[in-house]
Amino acid sequence: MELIDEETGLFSIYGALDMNKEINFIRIKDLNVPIEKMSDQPLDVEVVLENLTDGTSEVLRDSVVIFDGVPTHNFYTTMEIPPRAEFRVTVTGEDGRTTSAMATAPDLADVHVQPEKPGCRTELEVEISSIELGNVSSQIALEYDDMEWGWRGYGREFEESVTHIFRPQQLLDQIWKDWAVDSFDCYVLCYEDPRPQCYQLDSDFWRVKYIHFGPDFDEGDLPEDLSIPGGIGEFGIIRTEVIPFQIDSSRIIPPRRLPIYCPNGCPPL
Amino acid sequence: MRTWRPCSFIGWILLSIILWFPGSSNAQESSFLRIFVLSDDDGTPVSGANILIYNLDGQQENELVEAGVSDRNGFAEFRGMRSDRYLIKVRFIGFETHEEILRFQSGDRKEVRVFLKISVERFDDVVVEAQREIATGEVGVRRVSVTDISRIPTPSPTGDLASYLQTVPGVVSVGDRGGELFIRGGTPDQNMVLVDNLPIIKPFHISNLFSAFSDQTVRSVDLYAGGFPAEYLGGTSSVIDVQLRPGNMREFGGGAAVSPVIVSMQIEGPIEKDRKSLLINGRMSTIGRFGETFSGEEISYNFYDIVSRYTYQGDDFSCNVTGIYTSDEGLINPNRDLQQSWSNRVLGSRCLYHDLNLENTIEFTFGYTGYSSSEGPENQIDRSSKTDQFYANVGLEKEVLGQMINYGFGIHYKEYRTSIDERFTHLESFKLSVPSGRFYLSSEIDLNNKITIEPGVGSQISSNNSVSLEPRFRISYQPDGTDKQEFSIALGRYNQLFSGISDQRDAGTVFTVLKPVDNEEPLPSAVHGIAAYQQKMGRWFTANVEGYIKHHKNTPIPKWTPEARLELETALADGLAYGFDLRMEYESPLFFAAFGYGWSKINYEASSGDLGAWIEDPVFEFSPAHDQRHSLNVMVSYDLAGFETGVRWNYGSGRPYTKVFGFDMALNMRLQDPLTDPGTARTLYSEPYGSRQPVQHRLDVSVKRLFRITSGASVTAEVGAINAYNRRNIFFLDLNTLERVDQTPLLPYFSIKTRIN
Repeated sequence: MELIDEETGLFSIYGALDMNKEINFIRIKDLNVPIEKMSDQPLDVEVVLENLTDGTSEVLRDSVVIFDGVPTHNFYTTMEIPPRAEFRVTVTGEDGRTTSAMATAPDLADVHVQPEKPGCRTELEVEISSIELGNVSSQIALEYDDMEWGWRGYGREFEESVTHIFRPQQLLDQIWKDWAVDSFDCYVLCYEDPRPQCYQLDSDFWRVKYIHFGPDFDEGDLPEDLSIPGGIGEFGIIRTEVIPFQIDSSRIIPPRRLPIYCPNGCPPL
Repeated sequence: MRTWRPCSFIGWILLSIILWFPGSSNAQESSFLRIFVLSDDDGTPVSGANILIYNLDGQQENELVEAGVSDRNGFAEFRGMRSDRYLIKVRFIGFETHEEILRFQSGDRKEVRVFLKISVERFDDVVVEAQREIATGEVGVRRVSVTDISRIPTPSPTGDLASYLQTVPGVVSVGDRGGELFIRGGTPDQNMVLVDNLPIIKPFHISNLFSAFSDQTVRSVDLYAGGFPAEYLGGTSSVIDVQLRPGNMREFGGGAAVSPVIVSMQIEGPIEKDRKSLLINGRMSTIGRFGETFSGEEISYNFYDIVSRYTYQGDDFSCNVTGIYTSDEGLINPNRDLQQSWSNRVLGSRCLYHDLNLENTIEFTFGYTGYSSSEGPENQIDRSSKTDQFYANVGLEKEVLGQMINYGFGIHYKEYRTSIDERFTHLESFKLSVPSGRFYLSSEIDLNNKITIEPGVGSQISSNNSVSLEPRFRISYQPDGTDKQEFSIALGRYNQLFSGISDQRDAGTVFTVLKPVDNEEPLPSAVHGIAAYQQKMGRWFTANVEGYIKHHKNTPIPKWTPEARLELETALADGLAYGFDLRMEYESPLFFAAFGYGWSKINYEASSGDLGAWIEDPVFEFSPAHDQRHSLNVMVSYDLAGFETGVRWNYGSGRPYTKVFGFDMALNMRLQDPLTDPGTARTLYSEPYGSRQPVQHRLDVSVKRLFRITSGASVTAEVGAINAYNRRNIFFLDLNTLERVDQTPLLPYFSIKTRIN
């Protein structure tokens, strides 16, 4: 009596090919092998990545990454991925049966930051355009206290552009509130104002980081349907980019009154 | 059908009360004879005895004018007696025939107690003569005697109803653990179990070989696999109507029994001779302690039950008080830390009021039934479901236009309490109280001496706006006017005011949430149609073939999310079950052989949108886990030189199961990187019930002998084996442990039973 349906479920394919990376990895898993029986020996499969737009292809090689004793097989490719190109990855098992998945590359997006070198209280506009094919997840990032802090923008699906309008200090306050307010007691919050100011950041250069997803990515967490013939998984193409822009922090502006974040008000001095 | 008006509940109760007037002595001109048939051996009622009434003064000499059969109380009533002399003959196998002459005057009302003396050629077990209490044939009914139960080899000194039921074609158990029985396509919560007319929720023990009903306490059982008459309300699939036996009315007695699987003790005796008696029986499993020694496999469950019955036989009324407590706890898969536990509590009374001043008898039933079940790792309860119900039912009869009408009503109050965690995501913990009422009306009508019909109707109403209308109809045709050959048909509609929600995907759990149907939900319902033909040949041989169809609606089934996860969400499905059973029995005093074959097909249908992903068609059809296409049972029992040998062979075709689609290490490619993130390990289900298990078969054997130590003391020794040729029958594939779980391997046993009275 068989526990596993070996006829329909062959391999899972998980990969997000980044157009801006020289090497991309695709995880392949034999669905018929329980997790605890996975081997660190190379999988007995052939994995081929094809550019269906120009007809080129590459046989991928296996690399094993072990997590807590569980080996995973991540096949890598150095193929160039042009915008709007259509790709197919095919996994062929030793018995000749195949699992395959298709993906389309997104277009090249444009990023515009206006005005140039804004002051800390100046309203600026970040626009990411030409993104109608797929959707975008964007982030405004800065460095403070040897760490990267970020504010994540919302993705827009199949629209032409995404625009974020903000003032740097206002965004800095928001990031600090989201991440750091719980680290301080009410005495410090009320009487010492621990909020960082623009001039206190490690660098005047902020960054727009965005991921432009191809049209093959679902909104959900993990795939739960047979979107890949003969298996399951998620395969797509993304383009990640980081665009720096400079903030003018030369003017030291006294901070505005600190909002009260203490639920019971400020303690007595 | 479920249109609700505010006054309908009150109106419905008023209708019931208006109909309830017992019809006291306003019809003095009618005369009747009431007979109680009792055993002269122990003073207890004899059911199934033939009662023949001859008119000695009629136009023809010794003309047979009435015939009947005593019911579970040993009671029978004959009406319309003329001013003549009558010869009363009462016969029952194993007893001497009782004859008595009675003289009737106009308007006489007589009650006679007949004590049947045991015949010299006594058999140790009373062989019940195949007589009918149900005038409309045996369609859908399996009348089970103590002898039937005792014949089935069980690893204990006593027979058990649970073991017997699994020999009946159409009764499917998905394994040998869990206490779940599926009867002709119905699910366990759609079975209604009654003991002395008191409901009991799950009297079957975690070992499917045992229930609360051993052959030491049971008098008889009526198994209605469908098509049951109007007085049975509240189940949509089947009725298991258990009658306990009263304690000995004349002598004290008791016994004890020991086996590696179970131990039991029993005491009984008169509190007042021929009037009051008490019977107490207790059993406790020992298989958890000794099972591994005998079977070679760890057995991690235990159970016990206590069954007691107080019986009163008065001049004007007879009563019994029944108390039952059962407890089960343990693992279905010994390698998985998921404890199942459940317990039943029943305390109630059933009384028959038969004062001669009453035109008709009245039957009262009232009591309490409680049920608790829970599930979780050892010493932890993750989920629990409890119900408590109080009820009072009245059963009446009334003569209208020369036709006896049976009717009755009841008032029930049921409280549901459920505490649940993440497994049942669409449910929250709840506590609900649901008062309800029920009413039924039926009549047996002899159209001529060959055709009898029984039309009836029942209705249930609950305070959460659920109203049902349940017409029933039974008909029998006896071509030669005797029960040697009989065609019968039963039809009916059935409703439940609650539903049972369980994770049927996981055979390693039997935890079920019992939940009343909400205002906006449709009631679970079923329509049954059964046709049967029975042929008796000679004195000992009976053949019966029965075809059936059941259409269940609004049965909750789990949604089939591809990922094997703990949560359970349900969708409503419609189920169609149909098939036929063939049964042949040869029963003589020393030799018994039975052959039973059942063919069935069960098809569930649900909207794919309700079921979840993995399924492309808009409507998904599947055969559930209890769809066993073929089942075959062969049973032979033979008494030779004082040794009683029992052999049972059972064959069942493979039941559907769901394969694993695959084991995945899933990544969320929006957030995770194959080089730095391990991903999420997950097991995925394939298409629901897309494959079938291999066939199952098993041979059980037993040999026992009774040794009489004195005239009042005996010892019975028994040796036997369950699964005698150690067939490796699969129970289920556990997706949580990824291992095959098998049913009980070869289990040899030796048992001793002592009896003193």
